[in-house]
Amino acid sequence: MINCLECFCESGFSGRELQKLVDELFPAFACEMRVCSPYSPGPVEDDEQVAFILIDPLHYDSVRDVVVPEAFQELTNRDLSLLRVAYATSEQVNRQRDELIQRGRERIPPQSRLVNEVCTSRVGDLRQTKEAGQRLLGVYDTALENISSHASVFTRTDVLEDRKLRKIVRNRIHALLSPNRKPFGEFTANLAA
Amino acid sequence: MSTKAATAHRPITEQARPVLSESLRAAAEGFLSATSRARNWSCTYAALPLSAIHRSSEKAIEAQRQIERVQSLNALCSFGPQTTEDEERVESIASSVALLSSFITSPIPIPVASSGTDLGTTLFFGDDDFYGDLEIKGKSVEYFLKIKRNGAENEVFDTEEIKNGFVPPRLLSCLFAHYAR
Repeated sequence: MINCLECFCESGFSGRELQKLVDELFPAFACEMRVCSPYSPGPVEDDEQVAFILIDPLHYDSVRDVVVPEAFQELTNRDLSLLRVAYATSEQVNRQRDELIQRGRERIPPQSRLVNEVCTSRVGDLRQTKEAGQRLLGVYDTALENISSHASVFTRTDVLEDRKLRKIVRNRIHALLSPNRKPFGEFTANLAA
Repeated sequence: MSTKAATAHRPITEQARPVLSESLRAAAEGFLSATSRARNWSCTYAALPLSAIHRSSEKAIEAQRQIERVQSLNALCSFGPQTTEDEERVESIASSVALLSSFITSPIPIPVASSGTDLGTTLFFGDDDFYGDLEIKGKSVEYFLKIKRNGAENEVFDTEEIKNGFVPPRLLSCLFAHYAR
């Protein structure tokens, strides 16, 4: 039996397939309390704040000031990347922003992207999200070599495979993350250099 | 630190009020004033359609802006459909454009449009009592609605075919039940 760290880093799986493997080997989000990356600052605690970088125009309509549920579609397409506020540095977050903008430029035809805002949530609130009494979301420590504050939101295999549950989980995460928005500059100004 | 709450609940007339709408209002007022003078209409006749025209003009501008937000449209305009996937995406965009246009003259607000990484586009309705996540793929729309009324919460999930560019019947009745009550 492999452990959480091996499952996340040595299984060869990524994205949606990794979500399914983790759910199969460690049901009920058991790896949340374990280190899942060699670059980890530690398991993600319930009291931590996590941030999601919003891309204009993909994730929201700045004229209407509305975050669309599609912003969180990566949860069921691959996995949803977040930043752990307590461990994020302004240098890491700025690099992440530059990468997101660059990815837009590399598309054919090039896609204009702006990053002006982030939205945040308490990890415990994400973990408490339930449907029919069962938890929907897990938050894992998935630190990367150059972004040690990286975390990922996973869901259950049955959610990934059920069209209605996919819409429900998107609604829940939209309700948690979209109301708490901060200007990007204000967010990075409060981080370590 | 301050947080900014999303204000999806604001009515359409307050959400987007482009400068252009003021010129449209002036143009509509001028046109109606001239027409009513020419035809000897009383001011009462002119006052009634004016607000409706102004509202429709604002909604038309917003619908056009949402159509432009569907990013894939730009890509396809630049290169044209190359693959079967592109063709499906074109069909999704055509369906989205048809739905957005059909909301202009209805009591239903213009939803926020976006295009996904897969072949579909999405339309989003959001206010305090209503959440509507519509995913359009080709000529079908899969939707999840969450409606609060009199303290009770109701969820609707369904997939319907978009026939001749019209909002499918069950979806339309849910939207009307909320926005036209």
